[in-house]
Amino acid sequence: MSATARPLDGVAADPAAELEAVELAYLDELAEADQDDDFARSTGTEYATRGARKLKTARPNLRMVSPLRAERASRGMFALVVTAFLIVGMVVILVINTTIAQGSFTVSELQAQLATLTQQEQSLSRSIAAAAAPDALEQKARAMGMIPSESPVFLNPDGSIVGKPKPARGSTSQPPLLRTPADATSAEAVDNAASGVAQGLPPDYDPAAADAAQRQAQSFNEPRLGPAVTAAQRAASTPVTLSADAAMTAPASTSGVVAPVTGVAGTSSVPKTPTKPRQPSTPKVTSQWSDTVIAVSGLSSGDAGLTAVPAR
Amino acid sequence: MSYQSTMRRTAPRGESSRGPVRKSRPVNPLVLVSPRGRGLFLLVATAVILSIFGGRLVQVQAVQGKALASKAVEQRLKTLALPAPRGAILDSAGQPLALTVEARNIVADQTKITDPAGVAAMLGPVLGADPDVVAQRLTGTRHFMYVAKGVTPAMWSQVLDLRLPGITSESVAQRVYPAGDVAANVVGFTGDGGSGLGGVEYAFQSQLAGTAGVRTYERGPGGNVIPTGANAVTAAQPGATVKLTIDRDIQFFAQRALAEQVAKAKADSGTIVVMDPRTGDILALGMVPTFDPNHPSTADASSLSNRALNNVFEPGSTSKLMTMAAVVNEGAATPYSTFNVRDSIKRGDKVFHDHDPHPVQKLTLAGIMAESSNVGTIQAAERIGGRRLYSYLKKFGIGLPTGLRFPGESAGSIPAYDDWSPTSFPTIAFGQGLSVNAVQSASVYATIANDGVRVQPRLVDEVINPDGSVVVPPSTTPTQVVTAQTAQQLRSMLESVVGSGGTGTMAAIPGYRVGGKTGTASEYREDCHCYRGVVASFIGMAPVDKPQLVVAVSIFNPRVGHFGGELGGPVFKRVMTYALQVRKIPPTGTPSAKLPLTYKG
Repeated sequence: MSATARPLDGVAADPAAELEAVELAYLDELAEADQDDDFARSTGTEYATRGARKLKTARPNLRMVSPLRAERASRGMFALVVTAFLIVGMVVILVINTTIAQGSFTVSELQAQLATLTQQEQSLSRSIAAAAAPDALEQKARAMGMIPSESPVFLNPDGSIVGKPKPARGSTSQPPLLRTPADATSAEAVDNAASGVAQGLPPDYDPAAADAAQRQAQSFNEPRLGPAVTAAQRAASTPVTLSADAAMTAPASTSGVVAPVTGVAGTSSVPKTPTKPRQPSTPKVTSQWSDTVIAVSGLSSGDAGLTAVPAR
Repeated sequence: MSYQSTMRRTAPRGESSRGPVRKSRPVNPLVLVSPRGRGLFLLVATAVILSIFGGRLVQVQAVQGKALASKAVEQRLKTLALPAPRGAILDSAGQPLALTVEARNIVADQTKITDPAGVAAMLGPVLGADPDVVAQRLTGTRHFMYVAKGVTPAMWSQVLDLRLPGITSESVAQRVYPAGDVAANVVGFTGDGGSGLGGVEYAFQSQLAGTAGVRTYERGPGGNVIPTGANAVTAAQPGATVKLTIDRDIQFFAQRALAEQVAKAKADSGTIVVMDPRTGDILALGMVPTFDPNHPSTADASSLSNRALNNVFEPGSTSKLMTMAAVVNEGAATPYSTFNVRDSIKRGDKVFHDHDPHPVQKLTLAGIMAESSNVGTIQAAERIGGRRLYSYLKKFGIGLPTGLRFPGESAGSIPAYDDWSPTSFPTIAFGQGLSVNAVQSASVYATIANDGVRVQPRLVDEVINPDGSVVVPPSTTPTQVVTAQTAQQLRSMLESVVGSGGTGTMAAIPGYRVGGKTGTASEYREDCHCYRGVVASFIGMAPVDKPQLVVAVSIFNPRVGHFGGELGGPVFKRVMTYALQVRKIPPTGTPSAKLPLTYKG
């Protein structure tokens, strides 16, 4: 391409060519202004720095491609930085999410543990409550051969006794649970037998059975017995009764919470004994009962009413 | 970008068009689209698309913004009710009478169960249910069907171990009454929704229930909690604990002793009240029939009410204590005052009889009380007259509420003095023609036991809030009804009832000084508006010289046995004996008063 070259008409078919044509035209003007052929030739692409001779040596770098290369380099740097940011950001988000997820896992794990422990605590306290219910306690006490004491007697610190010791009566069989009179009627025979105060005969009184019971009772030196306690019932109350019988032959107490006191019934060791009211409904204490067990004051309320006696 | 650069690049052309390039302007026939037109097209298309986007953006963000945002939150946000645990009901020693525990309702999705019989065979033994019944509940097309309700968590974990598809559970709060029917009529019961329907459960519903909490959190489509989302918890406020004055052990024993006696007497019902006269604390309030609050639906409706407070009856001879107290306190007679007592007396148009015919007796006031003579009581009462008697009865609390504020409580009644007929005075003097509930009649004896000071009965000791603060139900201030000396004299008279020659010998407890009064009243029946059957009762206290316990037993319509002494006495004796041991009350050791019952002259 020479400085005198003219743009060819009809060649500018595309914008690039047209642009080139424009540039060439501009260079013509430059050439006309500065009649130096060499300079004109050497500054074929130079239009920004008219007359800047000093730039002769930097000429190759000022070609059209060079800005593109610089751009490419900075673009690569930019991509690198952005990618780095992206990676770092993703890692940070991942870490945060993992931490949060970890936290929520821990929370739900602990919540599950809490629920399990709460359930355990509840079921335990529920079974304690069930075992500590008065009728459950009484059942257990009767199974151990204990029956309710009928005469509260208190032992003073000096060993003297307040109250009138009297053997407890009644069977160790559990009285039926009574809620309505209907329940009661159906369970009446058992009830009469179970409560030591049964004095009358129940409608379904079986003389033979009662007789057998009476004989058996006498063989145990029983002062008096509810007549309706049938032999069958005695037979039915199995090892429990046997252990209770064993307790009778050995007059030592069967329980740690009560103390046996031998020979106190009706003795003069009772201080300030109130006058004994007339008692037509209760049987008299016979001398056959020498080993009376008394309730000692200071028992917990749960056991106070149940005194171990040499049961039948 | 390219669009802009095109613009920039084409710009110089305008200037250069003046130059020689202009001459070569003729369009090359090979150019199909003007670059200018293409740029314009892109500009317009982009503008259109962007304006659509922009418009939509404005629509979504600005116009519907709030609604959509709230809708989104609504979709994500789950609100979970946190039920408040119901407060417990405890006895005086802190033993539970009513507890709330977690339970499970086992639910089946019937559509997911392909082999109901097989699943039922596995479920049945774990649940303790009949596999056939279970199978029935598993068969069908329903997505939600209860298989078992109120199962323990332990049972549920066993069911879970079976890994049965379609079997799930929901957590529910279950009310349990560990002591069963002990104090059932006092404690009451709850319905399916967990709210109290009877007794203390009903009366203290608002305190026991607490306030339910709320948990709101955002959740993903799978139901998982979004950790970064909103998560607010308003904790449930647990219900308060109600502590009763009831002693569970005494209550149990009293209830059983009463039930046995009611059974033996073939009676309709019975009530028993054990009270500490010094504080008014009701230690036991038992009745027959009763029920198991764990299964209230199986109980007969009549056994659910608290008949010791809701049912009133004419007290009969136990009411003579009030007449005697009035006479002695007014100074009209002493326990030693003498009366010539016939077996009948005519007042108004009516002849009043003693329970047994007898020749004229020379009785002291104590003797009248011991033998429970109606005629003698009328004679003694006439020394003070009706108006004064009436004022004493009111002071003893007859016809007034007990102050327990128990649901369904009936205060009883006494006709106003101005409405009394000529027969009212003698009738009321020996305890007919006025009505009381069991607690009221026990309270009369507690007043005498407490040296004449009437203390309002108490059933709820305190309400303990979850924050630890304690609320004690209000109580009226104690009032002096009769003097301490009168009360002491009356207690000696009550002792002679239990002593030899009295009607209450079956109530005597060896070693203790016991005082009490028998009562055998005609029972007025609402169903026939007539008197039919009797109320046999015994109310007494021990030790008489320093009473610490009052026990009142009433047995309604007995068919075997008749008199209060023979029916109520033994129950009193057993329960009092037990309660003395539980409360660790030793005998006082003082000699009995031994008032003369008769005189010579």
